[in-house]
Amino acid sequence: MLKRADPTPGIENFLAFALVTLLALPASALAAKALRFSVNASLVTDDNVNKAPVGDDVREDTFVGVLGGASFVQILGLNSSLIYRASVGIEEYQEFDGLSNASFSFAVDYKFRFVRGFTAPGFTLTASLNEQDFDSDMRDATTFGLLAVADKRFTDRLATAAGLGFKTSESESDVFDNDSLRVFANVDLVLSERALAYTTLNLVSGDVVSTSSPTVDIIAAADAIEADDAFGGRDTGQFAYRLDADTTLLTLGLNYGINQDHSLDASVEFLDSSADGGIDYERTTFRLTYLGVF
Amino acid sequence: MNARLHPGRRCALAAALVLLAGGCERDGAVEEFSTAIGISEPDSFLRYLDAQASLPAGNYTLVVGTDSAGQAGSFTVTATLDDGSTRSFSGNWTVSGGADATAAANPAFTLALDRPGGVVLAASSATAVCLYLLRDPNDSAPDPTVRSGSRYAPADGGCVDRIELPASGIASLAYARAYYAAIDPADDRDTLAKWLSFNGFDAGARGHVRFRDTRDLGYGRNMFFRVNADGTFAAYVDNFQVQDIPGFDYTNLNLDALVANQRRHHIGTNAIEYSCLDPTACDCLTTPQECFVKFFTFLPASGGVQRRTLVQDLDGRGEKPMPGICVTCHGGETPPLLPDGRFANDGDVDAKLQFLEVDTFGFAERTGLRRADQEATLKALNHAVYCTTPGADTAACATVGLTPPTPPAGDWPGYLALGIMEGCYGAAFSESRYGGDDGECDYVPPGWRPNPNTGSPPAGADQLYLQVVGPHCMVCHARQGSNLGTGQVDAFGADGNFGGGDDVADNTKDVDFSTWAKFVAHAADIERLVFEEGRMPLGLLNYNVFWNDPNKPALLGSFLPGFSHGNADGTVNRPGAPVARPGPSRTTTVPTRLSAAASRFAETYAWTVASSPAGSTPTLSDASALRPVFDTDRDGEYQVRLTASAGGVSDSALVTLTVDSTLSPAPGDLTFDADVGPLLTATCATANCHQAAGAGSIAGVPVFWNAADQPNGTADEYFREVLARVNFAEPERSRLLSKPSGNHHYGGVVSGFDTADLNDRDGYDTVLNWILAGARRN
Repeated sequence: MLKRADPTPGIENFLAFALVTLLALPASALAAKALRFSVNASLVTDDNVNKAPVGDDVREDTFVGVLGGASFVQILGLNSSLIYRASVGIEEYQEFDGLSNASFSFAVDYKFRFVRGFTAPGFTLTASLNEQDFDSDMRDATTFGLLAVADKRFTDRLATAAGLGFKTSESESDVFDNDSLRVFANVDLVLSERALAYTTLNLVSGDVVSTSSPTVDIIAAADAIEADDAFGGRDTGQFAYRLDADTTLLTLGLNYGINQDHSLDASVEFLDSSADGGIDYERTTFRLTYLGVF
Repeated sequence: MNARLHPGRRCALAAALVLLAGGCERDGAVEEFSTAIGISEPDSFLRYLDAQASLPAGNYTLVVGTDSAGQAGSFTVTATLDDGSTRSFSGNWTVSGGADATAAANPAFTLALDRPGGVVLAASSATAVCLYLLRDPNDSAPDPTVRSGSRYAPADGGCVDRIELPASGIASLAYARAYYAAIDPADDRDTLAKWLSFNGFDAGARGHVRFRDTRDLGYGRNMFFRVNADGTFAAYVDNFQVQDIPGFDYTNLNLDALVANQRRHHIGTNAIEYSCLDPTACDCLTTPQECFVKFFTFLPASGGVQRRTLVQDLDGRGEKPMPGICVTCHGGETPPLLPDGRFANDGDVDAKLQFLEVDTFGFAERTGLRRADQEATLKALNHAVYCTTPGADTAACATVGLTPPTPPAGDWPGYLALGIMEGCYGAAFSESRYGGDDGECDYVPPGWRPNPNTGSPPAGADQLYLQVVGPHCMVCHARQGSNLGTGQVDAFGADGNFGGGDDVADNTKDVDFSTWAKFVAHAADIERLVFEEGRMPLGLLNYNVFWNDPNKPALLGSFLPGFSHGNADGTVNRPGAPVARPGPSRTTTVPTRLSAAASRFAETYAWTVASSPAGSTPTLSDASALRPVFDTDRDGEYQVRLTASAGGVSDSALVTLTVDSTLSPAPGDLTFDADVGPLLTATCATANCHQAAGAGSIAGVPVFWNAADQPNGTADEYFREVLARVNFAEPERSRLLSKPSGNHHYGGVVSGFDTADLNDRDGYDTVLNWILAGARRN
């Protein structure tokens, strides 16, 4: 469900593309369950939703997110496949309405292995396109991403993955025109038949957008700065600004399987960002998610 | 509305000692400067009430001659008007008439000017061209074959192929250049380094303060000052402004940038001197009356040098030339340039130093920069300013090495400024802290304290002063006024009286607002300038602070008799609605031009004849024109209605034309030499009035209305003095008319100038018609 009555042309294009893709699917694919549907519902608390470096400017908020998606697997051969993924979602913030948004994304994964086997490494190349429509118009953006991931199972309890990704966003404002490059590593550890623990470490180099009262140091370091309507804008002296930063993101999570198709996931995410001019911020989010596939 | 020509930066004026710097032109780099704000926009600060346009509105005849007669060839003349638009005039000579504006063989063209202003005429030809700009005496029916009335250019009758007449006689680069040629003829101070050395800063500053002024210019200000052994005072201030966020450039960031000394936010340096014209010839200890205030602005460093600039943009609303931008709120005057292009009075613009209103400043929370840490230095600076004010305590000034001046007759008395300063620092500057114990100066001059016995000042006048007049008007107005008139020269009294004169009747002439009576005597002008035109409060921050608090405009309106900009719910309307101004009512002949040029915020105009004598058939040449021609076939009284509109909002006003076909001379034939000059001499240069000597002469009277009493005794000087009091944009607001018709004039209503009496306004109509017809010399 899109939040706006007038979805942007980008979303319309995605919807049309997704519809065409679904219509083009052979009936056999549906029968073989190559097409799957999923739904996620999350409750997230964020102790620095504006990524502010200064204590007085830090804002907390909670949001509810719902994401519905569909994926289709196209087998290319014994060791390769294509996965088409499309999703729509909304996020509704409790306090800062401007951050509430609707999104649509489409992605294609190309998965392949050089050899077969349970512990054989796998590789994934992903291209994605995401369209987000915020209540705060300046945030409206189209994001294009490329991702390369290598994964490997070591045992039936331990799996790892590592990757390299690039993302670029074109938004309604200079501030939210962002580029970033990231590397990450992930470890999944099966704790029991139903429980799985995981941790992910992301190292991101590139643009971050913070919102706070500007300082001369921020202005000197910022590549772009504009009044942020999501946090009161000029009336409250809150400005969004884009900085070139190095960001470390550590996620610790626990996934509990209710059954084969439904699970609950709890995670905590620690973020530490250091930008030009010594402008740093920290952020912690807690996330509780229900995941279902059909 | 006028188009915005160029984006700019920002301005204001108010409580601080020194004005600010902005991005500007380099000295001498170009002839034009950018101006962003038109006259018909709210908060059009420092668009002078009378900008002294070079040319009145009307039709002009451009004659194109050659340097010698009998030549053949072709030419093109380009006329560039104030709004940047151009017109081209092309033609040729078969046998030219030579350097002669009246020669029929020289082609002539009509150039219409709908509004007062200026023009640049540039000729292009293989032949040596002589340009002449004449005013067509028949404004209602232009005829380029009529080549009389030359007053405008070239002034010396020579042969020029380029004529430059500035849109404003006091807001031009030529004015700025003339100013510095007067006060710094040898360019001893054309860079900050030279200025510092000139003023003794090589030996260090006496004081250094850092703060942000929140009500004046909004910058982070890094200010230094010193008092020299010869009694001169000098101060300069580095201004810091963070301009990276459009529309958010007057915040504490400016102070942060100053504290961090981030030079990329240094937008310039202002400097101010209180000194003699020639420091080698006098000093301010023994001859303080010869010392006056001078203004300098230096650009940010380029190649390590901060150069003096001729223009600055203090508020992002367009560049404005020096020194007018500083002079206005330092209580000075902007006299027209002399005919030879020199600055009048050797550059003494009669400006005053401003003292620092410490309780309006922001300070950094850092040791050494907090207010308490800087209080003593701030007081030292204010103490020096106090001692440049007439009437300051001599003993108190001796302690800081200064001698207060004694103002000559007609000069600024200073008592109100002294009262305010002593109200904030105690008598003779005895308090160590601005505002006393609480650090807030809530001083109310005696003349503003309610008097329940007489009802004047009325109840609440003190609150009006504290909330509106004090913070928004007094910075400028306390530096206005003269010591003429009874009661004006006395020391500032603590008993509520300003001396033994009739305070209410006589002390309402000046605009220094030292008393409620003076203030309310200007109620109509206050309402017009604040609520109708939006020109006051002067200065962007000052204006915004005033209008952003709805209580302030409402409070002010509630004290203005006949206030008409209020609403039933107690709110008041901001300036910006159309205001119809059809020009002054008058007795005239026909045909005659009407003009809506003085209207404000209007986009369209509609003229209608509202009433006319029975049997007459009045006509308007173009009922929607800015300057239509009115004509009729019968004498009598006509009322014409102007409706000015914009954005679906309209305003209407009537002008009364009393048509008298026997009027002689006809308005178009009036000249200064034959009519206006003799009239003023006969009417005004009389005993107890505007004459230099003889029975009843008044020391300090600002102008003499005869040629003999001019400095060199010439008619040219007399004419110039008269023109300096003519407002081509709004003729009826010319001081030449407003004073004798009784507006804040010590002489009251002068016979022949009583606009309320149709039988006693012939002099008024003569002068008015002369101005409307272009104020011809002969």
